[in-house]
Amino acid sequence: MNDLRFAFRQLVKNPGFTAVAVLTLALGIGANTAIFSVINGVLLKPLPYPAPNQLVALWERSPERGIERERVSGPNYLDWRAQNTVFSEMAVTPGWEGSESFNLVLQDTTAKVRAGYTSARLFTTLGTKPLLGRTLLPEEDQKGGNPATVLSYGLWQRLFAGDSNVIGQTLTVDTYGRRQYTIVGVMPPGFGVPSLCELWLPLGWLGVTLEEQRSAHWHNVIARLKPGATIAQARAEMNAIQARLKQAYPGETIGSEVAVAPLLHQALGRGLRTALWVLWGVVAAVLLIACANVANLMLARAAAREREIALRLALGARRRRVMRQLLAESIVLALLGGALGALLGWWGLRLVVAANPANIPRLNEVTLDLTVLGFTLGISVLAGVLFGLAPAWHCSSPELNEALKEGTRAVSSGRAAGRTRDALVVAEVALSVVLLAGAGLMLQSFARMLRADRGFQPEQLLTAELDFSVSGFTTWVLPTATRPQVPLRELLERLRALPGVQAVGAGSRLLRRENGPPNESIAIFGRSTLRPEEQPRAEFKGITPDWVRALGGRVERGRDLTEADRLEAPGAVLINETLARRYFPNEDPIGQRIKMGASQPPVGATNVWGLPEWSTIVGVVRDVKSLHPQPEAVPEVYQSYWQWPMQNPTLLIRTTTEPTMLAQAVRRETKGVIPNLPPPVVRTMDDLLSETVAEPRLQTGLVSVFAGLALLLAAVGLYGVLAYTVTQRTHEIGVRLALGAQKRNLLSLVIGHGMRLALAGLAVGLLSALALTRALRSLLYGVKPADPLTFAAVSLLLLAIALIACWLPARRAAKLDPLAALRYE
Amino acid sequence: MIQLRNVEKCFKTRAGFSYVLRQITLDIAEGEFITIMGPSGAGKSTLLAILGMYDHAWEGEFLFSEQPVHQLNPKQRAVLNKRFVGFVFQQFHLLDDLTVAENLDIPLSYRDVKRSERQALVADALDRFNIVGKKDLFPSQLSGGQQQLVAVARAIIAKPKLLLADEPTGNLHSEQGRDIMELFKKLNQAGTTIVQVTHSETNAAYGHRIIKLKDGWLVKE
Repeated sequence: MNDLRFAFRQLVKNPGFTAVAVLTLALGIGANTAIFSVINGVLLKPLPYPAPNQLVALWERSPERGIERERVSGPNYLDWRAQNTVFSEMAVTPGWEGSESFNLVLQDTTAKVRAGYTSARLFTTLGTKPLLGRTLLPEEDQKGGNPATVLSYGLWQRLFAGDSNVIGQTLTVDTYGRRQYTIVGVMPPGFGVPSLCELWLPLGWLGVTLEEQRSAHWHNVIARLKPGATIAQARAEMNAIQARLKQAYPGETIGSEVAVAPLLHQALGRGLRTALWVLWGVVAAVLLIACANVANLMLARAAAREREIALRLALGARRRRVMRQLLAESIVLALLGGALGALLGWWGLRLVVAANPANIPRLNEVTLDLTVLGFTLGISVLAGVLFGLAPAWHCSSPELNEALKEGTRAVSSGRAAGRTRDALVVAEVALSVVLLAGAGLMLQSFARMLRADRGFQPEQLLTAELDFSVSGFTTWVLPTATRPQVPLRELLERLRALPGVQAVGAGSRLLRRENGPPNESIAIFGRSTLRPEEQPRAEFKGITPDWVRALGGRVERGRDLTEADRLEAPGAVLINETLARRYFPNEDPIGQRIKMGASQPPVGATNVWGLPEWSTIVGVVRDVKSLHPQPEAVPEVYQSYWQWPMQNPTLLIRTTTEPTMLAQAVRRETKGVIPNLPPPVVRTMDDLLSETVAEPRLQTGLVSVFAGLALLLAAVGLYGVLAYTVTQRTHEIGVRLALGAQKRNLLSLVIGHGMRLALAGLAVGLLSALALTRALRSLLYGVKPADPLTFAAVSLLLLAIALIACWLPARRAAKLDPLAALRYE
Repeated sequence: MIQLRNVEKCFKTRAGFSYVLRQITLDIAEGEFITIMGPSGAGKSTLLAILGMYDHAWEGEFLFSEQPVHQLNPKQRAVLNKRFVGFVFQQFHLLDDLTVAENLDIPLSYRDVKRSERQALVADALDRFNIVGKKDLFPSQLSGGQQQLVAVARAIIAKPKLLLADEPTGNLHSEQGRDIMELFKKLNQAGTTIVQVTHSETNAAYGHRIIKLKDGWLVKE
């Protein structure tokens, strides 16, 4: 208690020192608090289900085909479920693009909701009982079963204000058919994570049974391990099952392996996990720099207290006791810094959560809970010990006799303490170089992402997503003369006629959002049937004639699709350069025939819709890459939209003016042509691209801010050490001046000392950065972790800042009055 | 109580060795009041620091209450110092951030005396030295004489057998100095062995005998 009381007294007596130290620590601790809250809430907190570490996600993979992750086919899922011995439960939810956004018909409007068809086993797999009513039943998985539905807690609150009489009421869902579902249950808060699903519909109404299409990889599978079973065991068993399936069904596309991963990890993705851990490393480095700064402050202060310490030892204190007292002061300081840091961390966390531009799962639930506060307390104490240890050690054993003599200044610990101070500054500089290098690489990478040539021109491009899934339109098979594309044609004409519109096209899908190999196998006429893993694959898309022009792409060879490529005409397709290069390397693809699927029917054969199986390649277009932050091109086939049986087109409108100015007109024309369609989702391509880089933008922004803070702290640390050295050497400087030293001699004395420290720190930092920036490899685009340009820029920046930090105390030294300096004690 | 035999202290310089003390041999009996005198640089304060076991860089034999100090390591010497020695400095050396009471409490706290006992001893000392009314003041609020009074109280609060005083009145005016010397006399009469360093003949007269040093040598015992 005495130690604590004395510690407080010391801090109050030195308000300037206390304020600087507390603020420095608060910045470091606050940053750690904020980032740890995110890591705790997003990565570490278990999922809100019983025995969450038993929950895993499964998917198929074929590394020999370059496919790391592929959804599961229905028949494969059924065989997995029947043959495994490691899982107590297994469930399936469809996962193709567009399978998670449904239209809810409310009284006078239609609302979008995140929903999904699911097997009844989802609820038993996750192990959660409903809050009200019941969950789906296994018989409701059968085709034509009871149209029941289960609500999430959030949806129940929003639509029914938490009314407990909701069971038995109906909801109308209008997606690929309008249907009423009876509400049978409501789930408790938190159920559903990590997915964002709010409404669960029975699998029986999916329209496709699980027994169909072994080569169609549509489904997400989750499972619960049996007690005692490990992921490694599960993986081994599932791989054996998969090998048997491949042997049993040689003509089907079946992944060669089964990947099994913890459910949460799979949902977050490796990129996000890596980014969060990197961020934590960054803020830990910032805290270390802050501790080094405060340690230097305390060393300087401790030197001034050497006489007091010597006296305490002379009065009988053991060294341990003195160190305890000094550490008590450090810890009190650190706790004050921690309290302010918790406040700063809470504020910073609120900003990040409010933004959540990257839609990071569970981020909205992140708060400063007891775990985080405990962490803050822990690192505050640790910081206190860290920065207090060196000063406590150094000044708890002064040369007693010398320290107690009148007229002597602290000398005994001076040299050792000076070396410690210098070492701390070198360490700070080294750490800030590592952070700057990381930030520089990420900034370069992000800039390249923004400038990435995706094969089209994003400026002055407006997109409008139309939802044809609502009733009044046919399902996505069987194109007919009266299918929705007819009013679509009229809509396109009206949009083309708008002032400021240069070109308008429609496509079955905008652009891929994820990288990864294409899913659809293709056949090239005349080439022998290959094994499934050797089968060519491509992405298929239906586009109207002006799509390429509207996108700003280019037909490199042959011709574009035209209005003549209608339903009745022979099949016509465009292919991209990547497909041409890969599958027609030594021949002209124009005139070749190509089809979806691996089979090789004769020319003239028709598919189930009565359309020709084979289409002729009429043109080769420039590659258009994905919307992924690190865009890649894959083989693509563009079929004429009028020959393509699909729904939900996306319009592309190239404008001569600011595209947002036409948004209202697009909505108006759409309503005019197709009145009962939900309003289209209109966004500019620039906004879409901005969304896709939201996560890298957030990561880069945070790393840059912390790196900047680290540099500032290191510069302040360097300045502090030099300023203190100038004060300590005032008498010496006076002697030098009296002996004829010029201003430049004094400047070089001080700046030389400082720059030597900076150069030493830079050297250590660069070597460390070379080793550590490898951890960023997966986050970088177009930049190597050892990019020489970045390292050179970081070195120059650091030396420039260091020079400024050295200049100020050097200038003070050069301005000293020799007489005053000689009298200085 | 104290026996020194050929105690020497020197510094190594570029020119050779520079001696601070040369072949110091002396005996101090328990209960004596000894004064060490000599010109500046004679080695008086150094001899006092050796007697107080603060200075370890010396050679020779030093017996303290039959204990061979010269064979003990610094830690063991510190234990002896804590048990038997009190020191009064010329500059008072009170802890500026502690009150008078807390300054008195500190040596007891370092000797692991229980809190309740410490409180009693401090109260006793405040009473004995008539400074009860100043117990919550800080050193900067006291006069030089009052500070030295507190310093003396602090030096004897743990009841040392030996009290060492280095120029105890050096920073005081004559009346204050006289008060301090009268106090030393009383303490000595009560049984405390006192060794003081002083330039003042008046102060030296309070003691039983004078030891003179010159250039590190013992001149007269």
